[in-house]
Amino acid sequence: MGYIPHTEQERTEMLAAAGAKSLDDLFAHLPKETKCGPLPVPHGLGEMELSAEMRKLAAKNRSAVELACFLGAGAYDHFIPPVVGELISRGELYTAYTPYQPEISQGVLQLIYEYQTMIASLAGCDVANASLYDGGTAMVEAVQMAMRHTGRMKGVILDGALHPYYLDTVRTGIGALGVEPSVVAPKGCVSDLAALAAKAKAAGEELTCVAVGYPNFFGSIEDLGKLAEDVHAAGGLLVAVGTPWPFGLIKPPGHMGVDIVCGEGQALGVPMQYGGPYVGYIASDKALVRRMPGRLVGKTVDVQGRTCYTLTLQAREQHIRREKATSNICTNTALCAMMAHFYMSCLGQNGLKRAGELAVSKADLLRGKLKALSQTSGSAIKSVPEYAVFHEFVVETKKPAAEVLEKLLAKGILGGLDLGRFDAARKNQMLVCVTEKRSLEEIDAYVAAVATA
Amino acid sequence: MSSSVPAELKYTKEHEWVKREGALAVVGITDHAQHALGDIVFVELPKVGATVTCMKPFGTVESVKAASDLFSPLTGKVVEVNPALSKAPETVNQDCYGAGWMLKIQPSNEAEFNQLLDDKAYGALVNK
Amino acid sequence: MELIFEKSRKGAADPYFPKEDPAGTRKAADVLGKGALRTEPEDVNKRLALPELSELEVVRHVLGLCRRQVGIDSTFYPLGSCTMKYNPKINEAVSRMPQFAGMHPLQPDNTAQGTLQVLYELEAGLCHVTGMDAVTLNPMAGAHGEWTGILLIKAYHDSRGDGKRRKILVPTAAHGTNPASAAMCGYEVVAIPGTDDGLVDLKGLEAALGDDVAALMLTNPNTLGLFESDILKIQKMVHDAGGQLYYDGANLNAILGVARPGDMGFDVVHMNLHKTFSTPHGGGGPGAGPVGVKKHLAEFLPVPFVKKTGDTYAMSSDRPKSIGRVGAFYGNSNVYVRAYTYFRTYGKEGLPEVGKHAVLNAAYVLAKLQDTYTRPLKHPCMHEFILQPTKEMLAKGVRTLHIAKRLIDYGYHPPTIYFPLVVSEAMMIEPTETESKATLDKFVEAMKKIAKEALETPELVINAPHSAPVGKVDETKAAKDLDLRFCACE
Repeated sequence: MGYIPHTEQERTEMLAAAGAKSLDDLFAHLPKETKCGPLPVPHGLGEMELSAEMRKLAAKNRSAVELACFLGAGAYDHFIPPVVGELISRGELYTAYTPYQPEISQGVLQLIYEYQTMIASLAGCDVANASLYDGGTAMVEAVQMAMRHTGRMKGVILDGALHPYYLDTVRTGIGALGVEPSVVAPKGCVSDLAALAAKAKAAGEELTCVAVGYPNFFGSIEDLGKLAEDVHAAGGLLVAVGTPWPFGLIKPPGHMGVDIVCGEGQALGVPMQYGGPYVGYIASDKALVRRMPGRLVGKTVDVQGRTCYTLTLQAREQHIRREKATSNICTNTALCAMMAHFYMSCLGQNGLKRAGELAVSKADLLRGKLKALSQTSGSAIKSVPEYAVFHEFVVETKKPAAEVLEKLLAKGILGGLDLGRFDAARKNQMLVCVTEKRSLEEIDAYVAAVATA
Repeated sequence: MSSSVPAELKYTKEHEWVKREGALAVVGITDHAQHALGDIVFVELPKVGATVTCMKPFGTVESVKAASDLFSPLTGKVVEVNPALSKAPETVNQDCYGAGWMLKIQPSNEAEFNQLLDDKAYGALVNK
Repeated sequence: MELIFEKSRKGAADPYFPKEDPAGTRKAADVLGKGALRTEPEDVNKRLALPELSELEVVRHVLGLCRRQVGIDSTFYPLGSCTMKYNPKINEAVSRMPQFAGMHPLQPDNTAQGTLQVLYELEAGLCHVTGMDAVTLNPMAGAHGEWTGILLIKAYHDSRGDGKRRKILVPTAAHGTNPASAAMCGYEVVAIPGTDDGLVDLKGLEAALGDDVAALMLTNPNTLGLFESDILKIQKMVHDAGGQLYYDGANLNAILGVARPGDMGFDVVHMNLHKTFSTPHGGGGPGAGPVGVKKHLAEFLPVPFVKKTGDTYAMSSDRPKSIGRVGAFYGNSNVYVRAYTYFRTYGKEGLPEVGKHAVLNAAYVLAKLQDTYTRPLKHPCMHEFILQPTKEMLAKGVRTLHIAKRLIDYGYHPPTIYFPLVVSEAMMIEPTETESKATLDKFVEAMKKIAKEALETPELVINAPHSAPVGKVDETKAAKDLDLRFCACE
């Protein structure tokens, strides 16, 4: 049955050895009220029928492979070299447990150590951890890390131009501790850095941290140097939240005085897979490392003095410190972190930078064409707000964005995100993303589809 | 193996020791504590000028297998922290009653001294 | 092995992207403006450090590291409380289909009906398996599920104006995540003692219960691998005191299809699908930690959730009393695609066979080894069991750690050791149902050989492993001389 290998004869012998008459006999000491009869679930299937069944279900999806994906907003459709999928299919890697036995886990341990190096350097920071669940939970952990460092609980100030789902996740996460963050509304699509700094100053002794998007939810990139100075002067930490994919090309937060950099690493070689599993990342200055949640891999030596790697600073973790632990996390997303490793290794710094350049140029191309369209009567585009972006930007539409997006979908295009989903005042706005993967033909098709309202 | 419990010191049941040094009190962890923790890899101490409160945590000590809170034996102001411990936390293992001291406190409540354990009471606690 | 950065060759070409800018586009540097571009600072540690290698060199690097790594696919992995069962390849194949892997989380519902159906049906299946009324797939790991479950209990008490319940009871033998998760919800954690038999001490529980207790967190079979046969009494005591009963699903594999937490009186359960439902552990994640609840807690479940109207599925956030969002999107969806595939493989007839054979395999190995090692607990074992070195072994200086490391020399992954903390020198062995009798017999033989070695040539055991890629690791150095990344200055 399924992957249970026992033959009838083996089962009989094993039961005899265990002193049981039947399989049910092994459960004789359970109260009968706790036992269940056959469950009302479908019959089991052999692999042949199951494959057909799953293909049928898959066919009900229209994925970004079939549709041209201009949808971003926290999950990105990048080109992933096939080598990433091939390498992650190695059974030694994906069927391993957490590397608690370093003698036979040097593969995963070294890969994670290398991943930590790559992520830290990409973020422009000293250190990074072995990964977290996803971008939203990584942000919760970053805020809690700031709480532990400052010894304060209140005074958590958040940029209103962060991903709405991240903001919600943080509200739940620190709300569990009775803390309510204050949220500073953006100016249009741009994070209001001056207002964030003013709020930080006003928080006085209570200030824990300011968290700002970079790029923010609307794709905006602003220099954070001045904000970092202001937040530090007010006695708090600055947290930057954003996809790290652009950091090969643009100034990373770590170069602008940001203390903790976190966000979603999915763009680095992990498929979009309907929201997960993803790979939350967190990187920081060396001085904060003992406040960092989750797992860390460190370099050391074995009895013979050979270089090797092991999980370290485990004393802070839940299996030892229980209710006093840094966090309750006992898993990272090693598998996705390894995918990010393979992606970054194969692209290298030049490849990642080149992909970034292509995305920026193509996004600029579409943005320019939509802007031109907004000048013509009869198009669906009202205007294209001006602000500095990387590969994602907001477009204002004449009628509700939902209707425009529906029209695009009819042409096989996932045209972007209806911002009215989060804020009724933005129902005539959509968020559009252009990665390096979008072709000029797809861009032209997009423009043609919105040329008439 | 019995732990060393010098007679001239006072103790807490959380395994810190206190020594009077003029108007100040020197604080560290006991031989029993350092032995139970094993190889100490990190000691986190408050800043000079901070206020510590009797029997409240003032820092943490971390070994490979455990991380423990440090409890202040007295209420007062921190006037000095041992600068050697950030670079060489193993000093606590090597000489917990000497070079491995942690804090010097200006105590603000004399009465708290009376609540501390003497060497006999503490020795009975750890060497039973 | 050399780090990938040490193999890097500056300027190595990659075959992935065109070098020419697309026709009609501006140069990225001109679009972004000079001030926005990355420039590398003096501090070597803050410079970009991605390796530059050919694809072949990367492949060889990774395969070289695979030789220094074991997984379930390489060897028997009897890691107690981790349920290291076979990860069927069809699960992987399905999850990698572009129609599942290529789905954007914010796509319109009418383009995601396949995934939504999978998630909806998996939720329903998990309800049946656990005997609960509603399930959320949002939590991304077991600990995340625990934390979510405790928040649900908090929301429930708060909704009844019962805000004085500030304590969560946790057995001393519980997983460390239990107290950590409760603390992260702002609760005070109170440890409940166990009996010498390894079960919850009812007297101790009685004493701890009161109108300040929010919940008891319990694993059943418990962390010692024993079924809490007083569970019906326990549930009554907790409920009579106004508390809720939380089920840690770490050991659900033992009773899969045979007994259900819902029927035992639990109000909340979390499941570890990376254990019970065969999704890969991935070298330390991703997991998936769905949470099931009884009716009275359903309105507090996190958002979003999948709604079915007629034959159409939709993602909804319409749950006014929800505790909110616990992650960015809808949990680890593609882990659920694997779990669903597994669920459909076994189905009605197969699921009980999983639980039964998991227990059979454990009972068999225990029967074969209980005269060679010390068996501290006399209760019948479930899917896993604890052994200790004998007094004679300990007298020779051979401890659990040594036996575990010696198993590496015999080609096995060691069992879980020194957990639970309440049993000294514990070795926790969980074979899972996917191991054949032949594999188990060989393992038993190896354990017996090691027992003999422990008495005759203890040094051989104490100094193990002898054949692993590296020997015993200096963990003190790792923690003291923290080195968490490669630095180009080295």
